[in-house]
Amino acid sequence: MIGVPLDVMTETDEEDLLARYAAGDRGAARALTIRLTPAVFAHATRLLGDRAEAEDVTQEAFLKLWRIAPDWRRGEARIGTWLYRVTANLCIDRLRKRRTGPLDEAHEPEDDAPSVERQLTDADRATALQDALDALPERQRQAVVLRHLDGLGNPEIAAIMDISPRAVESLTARGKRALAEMLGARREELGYAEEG
Amino acid sequence: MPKRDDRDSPVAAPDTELDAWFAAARAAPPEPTSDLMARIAGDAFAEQDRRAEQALVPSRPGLVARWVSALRRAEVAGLVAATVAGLWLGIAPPDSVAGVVDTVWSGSAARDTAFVDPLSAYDLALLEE
Repeated sequence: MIGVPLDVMTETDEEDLLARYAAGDRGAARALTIRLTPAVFAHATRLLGDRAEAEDVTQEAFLKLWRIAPDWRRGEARIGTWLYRVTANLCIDRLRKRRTGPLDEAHEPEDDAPSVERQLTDADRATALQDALDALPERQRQAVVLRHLDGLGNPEIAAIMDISPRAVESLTARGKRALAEMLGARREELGYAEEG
Repeated sequence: MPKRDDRDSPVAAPDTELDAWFAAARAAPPEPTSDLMARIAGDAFAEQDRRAEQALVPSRPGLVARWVSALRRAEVAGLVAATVAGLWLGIAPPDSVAGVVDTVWSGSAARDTAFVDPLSAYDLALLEE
């Protein structure tokens, strides 16, 4: 199912649909679900590196949206921004619990041993990037994902993360430096050097 | 001058070097399953139903209304208690007030008061001096 990225929807679209949902319109509930779920789920998956957990977080974030709908105040915040913030907070809670849990329950990156014969695809590279993202500190990961994978601008990221745009720049810069180091070692094994 | 392919360069700048990785990740975004979409829509409908049911139940009075109501109940209770106590004293007065009750109910109090001398003999003697 293909959804519309959160930044493509206009504020009016989102708010009208949410107001209609709050008034009992089931069609508005379906429209909001179809439009917003893909972006929220992708964001959660990239932050958590785990599809099952990302599904739980996505469902929980939407439940919060459905409950707040009747009290939503138009023009105060963008629904997309609000959803990204709620989703990120839920993800960070889970990452912190994961870190304090028993070692055998900790998330381990998948063993992606290189194979000379294997035809490498974008999906393999995406997986390698995800492994590298998983190794970043939470806030750096969040900033990099919002900026470079979700495609948001610094002001919106600043609103989501509740920090200044300068702090966003700093976090993304440090995150990218760390990613470049981690991925540098995997460039050849993932086939970047052979293409061109 | 041919366009430089950052993926071929071992010393590419971090931004351009990473762009290829980011592009690969953006090209294959994690997609939600139809089951997840159904669960989310189901939650939305359930929340709508819950609110509709709530709207049918009469709403509870506010805090101020509840305080006023409690005070009114206390006032009425006080009035009833005073009435009952007064009635009880009239019907079965304790010994200490029995004389008073008799006096009040028989009307002798007013009669007796009419014969009370406001000045005693002692007072009159003092005035004469």
